[in-house]
Amino acid sequence: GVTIVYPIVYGNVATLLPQKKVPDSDHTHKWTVSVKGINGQEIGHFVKKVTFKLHETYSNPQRIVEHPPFEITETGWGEFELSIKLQFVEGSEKPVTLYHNLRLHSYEDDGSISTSSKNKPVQSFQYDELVFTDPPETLYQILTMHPIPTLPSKPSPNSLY
Amino acid sequence: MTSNDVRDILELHHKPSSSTDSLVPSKKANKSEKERKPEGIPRELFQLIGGPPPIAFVKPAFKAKPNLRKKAVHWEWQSFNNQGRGQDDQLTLQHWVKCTPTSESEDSGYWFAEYNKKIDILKYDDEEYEKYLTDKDWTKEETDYLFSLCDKYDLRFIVIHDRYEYKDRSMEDLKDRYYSVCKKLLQVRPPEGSDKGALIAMNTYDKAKEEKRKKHMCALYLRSPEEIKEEEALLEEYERIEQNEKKFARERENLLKLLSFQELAQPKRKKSLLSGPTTPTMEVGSSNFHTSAEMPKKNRRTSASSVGSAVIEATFLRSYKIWEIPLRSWVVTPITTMLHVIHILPAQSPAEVHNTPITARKEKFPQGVVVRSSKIPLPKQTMIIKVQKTLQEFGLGPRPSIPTETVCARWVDLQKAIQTLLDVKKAVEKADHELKAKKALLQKIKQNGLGNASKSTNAGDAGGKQSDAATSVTGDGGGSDESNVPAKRERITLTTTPRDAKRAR
Repeated sequence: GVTIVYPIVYGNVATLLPQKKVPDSDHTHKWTVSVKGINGQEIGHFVKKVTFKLHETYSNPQRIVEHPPFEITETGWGEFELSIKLQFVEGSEKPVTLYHNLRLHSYEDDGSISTSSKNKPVQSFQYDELVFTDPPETLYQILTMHPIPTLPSKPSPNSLY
Repeated sequence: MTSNDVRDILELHHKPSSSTDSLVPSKKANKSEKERKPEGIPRELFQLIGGPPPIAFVKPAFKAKPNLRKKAVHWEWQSFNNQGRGQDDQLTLQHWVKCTPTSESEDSGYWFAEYNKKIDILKYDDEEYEKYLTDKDWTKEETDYLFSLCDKYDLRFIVIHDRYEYKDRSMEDLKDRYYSVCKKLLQVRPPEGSDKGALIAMNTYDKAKEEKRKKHMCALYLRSPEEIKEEEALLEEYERIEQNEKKFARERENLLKLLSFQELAQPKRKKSLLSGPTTPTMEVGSSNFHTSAEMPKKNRRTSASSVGSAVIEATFLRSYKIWEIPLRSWVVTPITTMLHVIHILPAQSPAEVHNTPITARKEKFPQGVVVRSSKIPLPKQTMIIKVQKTLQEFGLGPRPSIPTETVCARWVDLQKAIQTLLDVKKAVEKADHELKAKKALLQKIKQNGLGNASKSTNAGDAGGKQSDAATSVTGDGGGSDESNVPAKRERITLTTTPRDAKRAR
């Protein structure tokens, strides 16, 4: 009857590429999608590998990352939904899939794309919690060894979803 | 058979045609038809129509040829005695008997005698009579006479009653005496082995009941057709009323369930609410649910429902305070009367909300890892879109932004509250519709003028509904039109005042 809750943050950062650098490709943005614990904590101790499934137009759309930091950096021009599958060190636990809509453009409040050129990077992150119910002994040890991050009581300046 | 043959038989009129006997097979008839060359009409058509045919037609019967090969059977004229007639009867009659090699040539008896069944009725002797069967109304002579008749006429009481010549007795009297005697005899005599109890039970005769029953039957039979129609119409009305009663009870059940669900889910909140005054305006909110009845009764407004509606308003209010939605958006929705209560209830700050304990909801996840956001239960398939739309109206997305345990619990509560809200909205709309319809009916009736009693009761019911809706205690929903009109006006003004009051705030 033990439950361990581990909060994580996943999402992407995107920056506009300056035009001159790669003139012949139509990629306009550079983006990085990542999975981390909140407050930047690492999850490598209990996450064995993370599989990022990108859009099929990318070569090797299945990107596997086996050690922290669990992130993928790419360039592109369009927004799409990608899936993030976490597999845990304990083999008996089922992998967990998260979905994230890649954000490249900054939007106004009503959903229209903001026309004002902002050079600040666009962020889109989602908070979620991994709930481990009755974890096996090994996993339990691993989880309790490392400190579990807690949400700050005041809202942080992170631009969350 | 062709139409010509039929014509022949019926002697309608003679058409020149080759002779065709009725017994000749149809092929020949067809040929004769072909020989004739009809003018004007094509041949096939004429064959089909055959001219204007007579109406009558004869079924073609299969006539088997008589089987004349066998030899005739020999029959004999014999005399016999009918055993069915009494012992001393000497009447000899005669009949034809088929001569088969096996039958004898003497008196074979009457073969229908076996159908002459006789009922063995109980017989008593004088001793038994003296002991058990004496009755002040019946002498022994008369009882003996009755029993002899019963025996003679096989317990056919109608016949017995007709032939009864001793005294002027009704059929129920005779039956009563006979059955009581039989019962007594059965009780007193030693058991015969078969089920005595059943025999006794069969012999019980309730004279009073039988008389009443026969009287009813007579009355029923002698109804005039107008009376019958009247009765049927009344029955129909009664059934309709009962059906509506059931429907209304069902609707009320549903609403109570809806409201009481919220009540059960948050017992703590309920306490803080009940401390506030239960003003008549609260009654209005709940009574609006119940005004959809055809026959409203004041006692239907139970205290539970009024508390329930107040609780529902409280939960809505608090949920929206969390997300800081202006109450103005509420005003737009059709539940205007519920707003009467909102200014009574206190508002909670977000901090307080966090501290109020969650209702007993232990998260039950299966063993293994789970992402909390994926475990939020979705509303019913039909409601998903509506719920999402409502969330959008409040400025929320389809999922909570930071799904922690408390947040998820609150989210689920909110979803459930939204579902309840939508259900209640629907119910209110339905009630509003019905109210409008009834109002229109009332208008029509008012125009037609107060006619007979039924119409005035309808008006009275509609009027009672309105007076329920209005908070002013304008007496009961009487039959007069005057009281209805001011009641309507009052209701309209009432809905605007609290809204204005809130806007002023």
